[in-house]
Amino acid sequence: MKCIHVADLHLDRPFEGLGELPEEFSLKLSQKNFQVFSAIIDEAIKEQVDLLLLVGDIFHQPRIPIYTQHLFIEEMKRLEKEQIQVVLTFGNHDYYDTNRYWFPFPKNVNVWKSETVETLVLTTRNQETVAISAFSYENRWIEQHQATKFPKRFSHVDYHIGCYHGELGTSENNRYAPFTLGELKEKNYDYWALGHIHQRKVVGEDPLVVYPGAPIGHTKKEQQCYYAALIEFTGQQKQLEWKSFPFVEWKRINYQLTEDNIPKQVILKELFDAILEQITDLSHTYFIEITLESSPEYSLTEYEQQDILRYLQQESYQSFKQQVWVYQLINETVIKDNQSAFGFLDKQLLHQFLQAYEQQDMEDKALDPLYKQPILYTLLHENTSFKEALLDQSKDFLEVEFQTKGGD
Amino acid sequence: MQILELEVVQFGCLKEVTIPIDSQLQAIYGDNGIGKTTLYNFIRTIFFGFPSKRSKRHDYTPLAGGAFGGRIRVRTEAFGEVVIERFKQERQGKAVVYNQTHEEIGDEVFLNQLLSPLTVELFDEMYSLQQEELYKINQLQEEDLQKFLLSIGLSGSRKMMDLKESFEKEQGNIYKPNGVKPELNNYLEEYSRIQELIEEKEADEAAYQEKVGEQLNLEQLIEQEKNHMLAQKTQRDQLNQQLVFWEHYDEWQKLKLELEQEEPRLFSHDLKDIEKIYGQYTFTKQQELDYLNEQAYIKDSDITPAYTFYLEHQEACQEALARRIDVEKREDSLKRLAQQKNEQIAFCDQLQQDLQIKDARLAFYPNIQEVTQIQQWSLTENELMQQQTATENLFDQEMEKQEALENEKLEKDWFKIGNGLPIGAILGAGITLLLMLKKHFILGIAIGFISLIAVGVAYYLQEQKKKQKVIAKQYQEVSDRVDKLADKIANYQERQKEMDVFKQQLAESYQFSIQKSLRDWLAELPLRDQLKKHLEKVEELTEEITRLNLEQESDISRIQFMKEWLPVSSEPNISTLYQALADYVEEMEAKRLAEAQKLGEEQWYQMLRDIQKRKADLEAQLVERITLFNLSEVEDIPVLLHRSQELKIQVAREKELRQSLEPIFDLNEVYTQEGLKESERQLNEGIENSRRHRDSYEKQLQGVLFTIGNMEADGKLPRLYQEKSNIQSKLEELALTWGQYRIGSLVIQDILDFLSDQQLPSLLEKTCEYFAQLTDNRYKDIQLKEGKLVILGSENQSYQLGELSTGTRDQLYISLRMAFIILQQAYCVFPLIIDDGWLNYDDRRKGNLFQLLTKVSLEQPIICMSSDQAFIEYCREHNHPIFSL
Repeated sequence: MKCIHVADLHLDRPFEGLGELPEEFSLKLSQKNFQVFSAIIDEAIKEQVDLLLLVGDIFHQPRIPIYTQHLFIEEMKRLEKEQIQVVLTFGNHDYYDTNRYWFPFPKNVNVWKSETVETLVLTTRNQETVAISAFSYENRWIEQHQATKFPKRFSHVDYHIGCYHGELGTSENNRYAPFTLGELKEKNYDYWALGHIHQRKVVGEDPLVVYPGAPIGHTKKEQQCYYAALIEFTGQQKQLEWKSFPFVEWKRINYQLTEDNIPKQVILKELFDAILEQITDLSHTYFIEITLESSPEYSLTEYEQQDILRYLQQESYQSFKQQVWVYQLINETVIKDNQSAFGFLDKQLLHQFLQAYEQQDMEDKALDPLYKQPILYTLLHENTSFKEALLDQSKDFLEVEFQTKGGD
Repeated sequence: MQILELEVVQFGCLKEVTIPIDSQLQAIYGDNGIGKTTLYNFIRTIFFGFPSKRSKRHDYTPLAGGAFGGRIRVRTEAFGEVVIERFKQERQGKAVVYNQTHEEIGDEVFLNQLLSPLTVELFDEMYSLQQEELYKINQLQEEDLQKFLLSIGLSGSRKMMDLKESFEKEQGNIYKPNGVKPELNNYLEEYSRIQELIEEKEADEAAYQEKVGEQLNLEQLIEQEKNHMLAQKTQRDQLNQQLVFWEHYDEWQKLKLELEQEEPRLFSHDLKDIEKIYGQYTFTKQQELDYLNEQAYIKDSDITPAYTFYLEHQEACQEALARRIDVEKREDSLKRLAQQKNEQIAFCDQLQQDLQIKDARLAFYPNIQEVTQIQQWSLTENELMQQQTATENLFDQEMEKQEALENEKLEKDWFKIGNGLPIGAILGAGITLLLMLKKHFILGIAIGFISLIAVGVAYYLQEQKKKQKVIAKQYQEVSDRVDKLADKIANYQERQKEMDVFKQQLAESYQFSIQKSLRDWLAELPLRDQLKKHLEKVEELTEEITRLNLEQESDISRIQFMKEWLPVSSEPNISTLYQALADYVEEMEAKRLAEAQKLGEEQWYQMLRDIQKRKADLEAQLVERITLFNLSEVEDIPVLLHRSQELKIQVAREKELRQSLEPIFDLNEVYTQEGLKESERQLNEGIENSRRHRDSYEKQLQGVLFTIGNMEADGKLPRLYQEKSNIQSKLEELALTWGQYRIGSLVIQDILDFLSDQQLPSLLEKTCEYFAQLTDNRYKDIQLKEGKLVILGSENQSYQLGELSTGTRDQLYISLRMAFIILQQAYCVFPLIIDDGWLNYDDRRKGNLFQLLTKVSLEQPIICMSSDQAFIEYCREHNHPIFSL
């Protein structure tokens, strides 16, 4: 028996952190998710798998647009024609609500709609029997240990697979169906198909416990996210093969600014060459982040940075068939010593002052003007990573400013 | 850190100069231009490096070339005495630090650590006091002065304030709460716009379910209308059939009514019994009559060959005679049947003639589909006829007009003659004039008159010509119309032809008259049906007659053997034959009876009585039986029997009709022809309505399906999500940048607040002390009121900074600087390097200053470079070391 295991597709999720994009590029990106999904379905058909396991967070938005549902159902129908069964469970993003689904699922799609762990025995085309135990989210969170509710391996079936969308570990903050590896192993299943974590990871070898990761990277944090797991079961043997779908790739480039490459043309050329080096297939889309490292005396002004970013965006977008987008240019000024232009005001003291903003001062004082704007409030208030990023950036920024702005 | 010795190897105009710094207050004397500023820059360079090429600072590279730089010997807390050496040509201008034994103990980085927290900025800011600064203060206005002094006092750097200000400016460039221009505001607007679009689109999506519901509903409605229409059509077909068979139904209904009124017992009772008994009765009655006649007859009996033959064949004769009743009955039947047949044939002939059917043996009744087709075509035909006639009439009218116009046009040629007339008239007028002159008056008048007439005629002809043009135009218009109508007619004829083909086929197949209209054909259908029925009847009758004739013939042959004894012609009809037989047998029998009578009269009477008794008996039986039918006389029985016979035929006919009508009519209902026609009309209307409804539903369904299809294919939401995400990231990025400036400005403010809380009171106290000393206690206090420095005089009068004289301001500035450095000693110890700025002071002021310097130098080393003779004098007096450049 063969199956493809996918999770966390987030089909409606836009690509985040890209800034303003050319309109046609935005349009192209909005179709990217389904391009990947279609390719996965192609692979399932090509490999003639028996099962496609979709373990949660297939959709991203709380409301699923008709367009998305329609395309999803169309892909499911393609599998139906090939007599490929689908196991569909819902995760914390697309937690199940009847009213969201406007199309009937085709017959080959076995849908889990409840938090209660349920088991279904399917028969493959080769007349092998496989028991699937799974559950779906009905709300944003499941705080209970779902793993303990899974039944022991069925003795009368050829294989038993568990589908589990949740977070490994038992920390207090874990509100995503927490579980431990032991809890899973105890069940004696042949395979545990996990979902929720976007980086692929083989959690356990015997039995195989696998996070396939998100097959589409939607943010720069999801750099290596373009895999689906293909598992072949032959009796006791299980073979895991990673299938990659790198239609979207997030790349990082580090570039050192030294005295030698001060002429702008040199910087631009070298950066462009560095971009070129990253590109291996022009049918893929590349999102590129560039970090400029320099000591304070060589660091570029904000305007120079803007110019470089704009030039690279245009140049690479045009040169590489509109497949490459340089979304960010980060300036990293490296300060070698602990000196400040303000004498007594050294790093430690600065950090002491900044400490106030790790807590309440951040919201009360610093972000207050932004919070008064309703949109910004919504975007930033709950976003702890924004506050962290802001503090880090402010720290770096002020260190540099305090060291350089005192000079001539 | 304490400076012990300056060793200039070569720096600007200075060369090979070594200056020992022996005291806390070290005076370095030199005239203007001798290199005091150069020396200051030498110190700065050795400690903090050569200025970069980009820097605008003065270049001290020696013109003669050679080593550029020098050494400074200092004492540090951590390492004791060390020498800092820096030459432009060596180590790319980086410093080297040696210990006392001239071992290298560190490089530039090490030096920075040694100097920490002193930086070049702090050095410039705090540890050098130059003449230009004093000059600068004097130029400042109150507000700037306040800021300037406070910035020194509060943080040691006004640049911090500048930085804060620049951060605030940057914030404003990125975002203003009510701004329109800043970038973040712009993106916010864009974000709201996209968000609105998304909400709109998502709201639209909610309509999807509604649309799907609509689709299902419409599909259901269409199905309903289809079924409804089908049901109505079936009903209409039935109605059509009912109308076609209306004659039969009418007949059946009447027959049924008639039968219902009939005596019910006639149906229920078998009359065979009565018929049989009545037969016996008539026979007995006849027998009685015979017996009574016999008596006379017997007497002249004689033995004849005929009698002999009879006696020989008595049995066979009796047997043959027994068949007579059957034969006669059959004969009657034959007659009746023949009559019926003739009647039917006459009917048929009449119908055939009426319907103009040449040969009734060939097909003449179309099947049901064809009937339906005829019905459809009949409507078209009628319409066509009307339209065609109307068009043809129009055409004829236009043709007449055209002809009329043509005639008028023909006359045109004749008018051409008129062209010569005016010339004739002029000629006439000329002649008239000539004649008048020649006095031929009468002739002149006559010719003149003729000329006038010619003119008149010419004028008339000219008018006609104009009219002619108008006619030509009209003619053109009429001919156009004629052409159009002709086209139209041709079109009708085309359709007519199509219909004619259909008609031709049917006419050939079913002997319809091609001249008659289809409507007439439809009208003929009931008659044709009747004809069919009659012909069938004729057939039936013919068969029956043939059968009966065969039977008759067999009966004739039965008595063939005695034919010669019967007084009949050679080809007698059967009834005559049997009559003759009966007569013969009767005669012979009478003879035989007479013979027998001779045996005894008694016996004969006895026989008669028996017969009469039997007759009475039979009569009684009959009377008893017919009371059931309210009859009392035996004579009524033939009528009864006849009626019974008739009824049987009627019942059979009724049954036959009923069976043929049952599939078409619900015979429990009562129909009227008008009712049926009305129902048909209503049904047609209903079907039309259903069709309209269905069409409208189908149209709506198309629309709904189109909308649904569009919604399913509409990828706009994912695109908007992507666009929203793009703007969101832009917003976050800008918020981050804004935030860094915001936090920067807040932190600077925090630092300033902190410093002012910590430092300001002691700073002001110290400043005040120095300031009092410098001004001979003319001022006793410096206070910070509402963020502003206010100076209090010895008699409590308060002064704004601007109200102070330039010199006093200098003194305040110097006091503040000194006080600050003294307070900084906790963090940093470094000599204050003063480039003199007091040359224009009066002696008293100078004295005060020098005393202050001495006082400060107890805690803080001071290197003072001066060209002031008074200062040197002061130093000498107070044993401060002096180095002369």
